[in-house]
Amino acid sequence: MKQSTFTVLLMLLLSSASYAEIQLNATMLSLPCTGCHGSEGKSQRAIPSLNVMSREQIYRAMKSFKNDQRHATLMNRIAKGYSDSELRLIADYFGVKP
Amino acid sequence: MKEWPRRDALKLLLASSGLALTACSGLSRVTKQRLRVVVIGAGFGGATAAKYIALNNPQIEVLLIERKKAFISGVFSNTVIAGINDIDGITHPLQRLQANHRINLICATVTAVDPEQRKVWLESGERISYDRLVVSPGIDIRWNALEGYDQAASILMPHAWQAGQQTLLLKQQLRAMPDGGVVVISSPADPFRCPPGPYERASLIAYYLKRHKPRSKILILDSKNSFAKQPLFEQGWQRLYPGMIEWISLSNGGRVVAVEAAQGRVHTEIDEFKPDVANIIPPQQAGQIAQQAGLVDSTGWCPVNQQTFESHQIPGIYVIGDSSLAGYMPKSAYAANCQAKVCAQAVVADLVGEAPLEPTFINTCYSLLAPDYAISIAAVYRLRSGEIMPVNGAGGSTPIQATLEDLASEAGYARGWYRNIVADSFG
Ligand SMILES: Cc1cc2nc3c(=O)[nH]c(=O)nc-3n(C[C@H](O)[C@H](O)[C@H](O)COP(=O)(O)OP(=O)(O)OC[C@H]3O[C@@H](n4cnc5c(N)ncnc54)[C@H](O)[C@@H]3O)c2cc1C
Ligand code: HEC
Repeated sequence: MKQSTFTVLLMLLLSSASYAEIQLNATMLSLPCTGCHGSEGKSQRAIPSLNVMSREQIYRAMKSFKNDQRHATLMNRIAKGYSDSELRLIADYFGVKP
Repeated sequence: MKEWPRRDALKLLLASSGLALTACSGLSRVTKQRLRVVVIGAGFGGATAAKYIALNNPQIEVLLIERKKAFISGVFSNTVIAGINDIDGITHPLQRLQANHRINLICATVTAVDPEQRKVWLESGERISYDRLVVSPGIDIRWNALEGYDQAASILMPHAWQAGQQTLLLKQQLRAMPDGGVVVISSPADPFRCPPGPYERASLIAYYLKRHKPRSKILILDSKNSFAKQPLFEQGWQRLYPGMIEWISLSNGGRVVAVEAAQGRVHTEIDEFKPDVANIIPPQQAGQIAQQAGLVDSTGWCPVNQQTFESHQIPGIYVIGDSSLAGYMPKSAYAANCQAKVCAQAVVADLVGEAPLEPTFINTCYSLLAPDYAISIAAVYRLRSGEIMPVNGAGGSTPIQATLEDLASEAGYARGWYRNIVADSFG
């Protein structure tokens, strides 16, 4: 009895969470970046390549852009558009294993 | 290759032959007819869509139909007018799409679409059938929306809003102008292709004039009371070209209503001008083929499902880029490239009977004020109740207090961006 109430509550919580933030696919989150960083994160000029960074490096860079801890011309405006868990998915998409 | 979850080749064959997945025993009877997507227009939207459909599912046959031999980009075309780039620098061959992604390139003009038969008609009279059609024809000029501004007038008073001959025409007129001359740029009401474009153009024309005809002036006659990145542009003009650029807003009588091209006259509601060079950026609408196919509504643009870009007017046809009504996204190359990837996923999903994935989008527009001075505006977008909306708290413009060093960095990044988006779209 208790458990099923808990399950219902959990489901409610989960569904309201997913309403606020829909679980997005890593590719759909990451492809918008490649217009600047190059297909698959391989940049040809000026803008840094992402495919040479580790997942952890990308994640940490995005977090510090998002929190305005790292100076940038543009990336802090972009990074603020994503939740931390989305930044993980994006970092996993572009990043190479350490 | 990092791609969408791999689609089952078998599923596609079954889908194309109309068989249910359970009909495994019938497999040997399945005809190997491939599903076909036709894409109209190999600009930033169409080329990207063709490429990403082919990448996503190599079983699909992709036909890309473009009327021009090579694509000439509106993006960076203002640098050609300023003389800091030449037309080859914004001309991009399409053959790599064929070589790298086995896309079938057809150099032809599409003259009609038959949605009942699912066929497109080429100028030659040839008909090509499709299972899904993606339409990305860019913009068309609304001729005579400004009284007197027709095709003949556009030779005398170029718009240069579709790159190519028009770009070179405006460049030549500026070269022929005497020092101390006046250049008028007329800027249209929203919505139009590349909202910061007219002001980038004013900046880069000023860059040319300052070096070669320093006594000249630029007058922007605007049909709006404000424009994209306005404080940043005005700050930059003050710093780089003091006294050279004057902006006349809608409420100050800036709206151009008519031209007399042969006489060189430009009329606003209250005034008349006779500039040495008139660059008329006229009102615009969806590319002509989109109008002809019945994809536009009363606005002149194409309403679409903003998750998939499938037309609200005709099922099986998708419209992306400048021609589409994509919520709060502006009409830009970055937006067209981004929309194309979302549309590619949706088209492939639809063909294999799957649901489309939830999209996200980014737009960024860099504007060069000089070769070493650029500003940017960016936004991240998501779908909210079926509409593409900017994410609160993200995006925005270059800060007004940005250092000259940062503005120079942005100019370098703008060139890097251009290189990368061209490779992402046409490579
Ligand atoms: C001066 C200027 C500056 C700009 N600067 C920027 C910028 O800095 N950043 C940015 O993001 N955007 C910029 N843009 C905007 C950008 O160029 C467009 O938004 C972008 O090209 C839109 O892509 P599209 O695929 O919708 O159309 P296009 O790229 O115009 O492609 C349409 C293609 O379809 C073809 N076509 C049309 N009809 C047919 C037919 N019936 N049959 C066969 N082919 C057909 C055309 O020939 C064309 O090649 C600028 C534009 C201009 C004019
Ligand atoms: C409009 C172009 C543009 C877009 C879009 C863009 N970036 Fe960037 N990115 C840059 C630039 C420019 C820099 C250099 C830092 C700066 O000045 O903003 C950068 C830097 C970075 C860095 C730091 C690289 C390093 O060497 O430390 C990471 C990580 C990154 N971007 C990830 C992303 C991701 C992920 C996305 C998509 C969600 C994205 N970028 C979208 C232009 C862009």
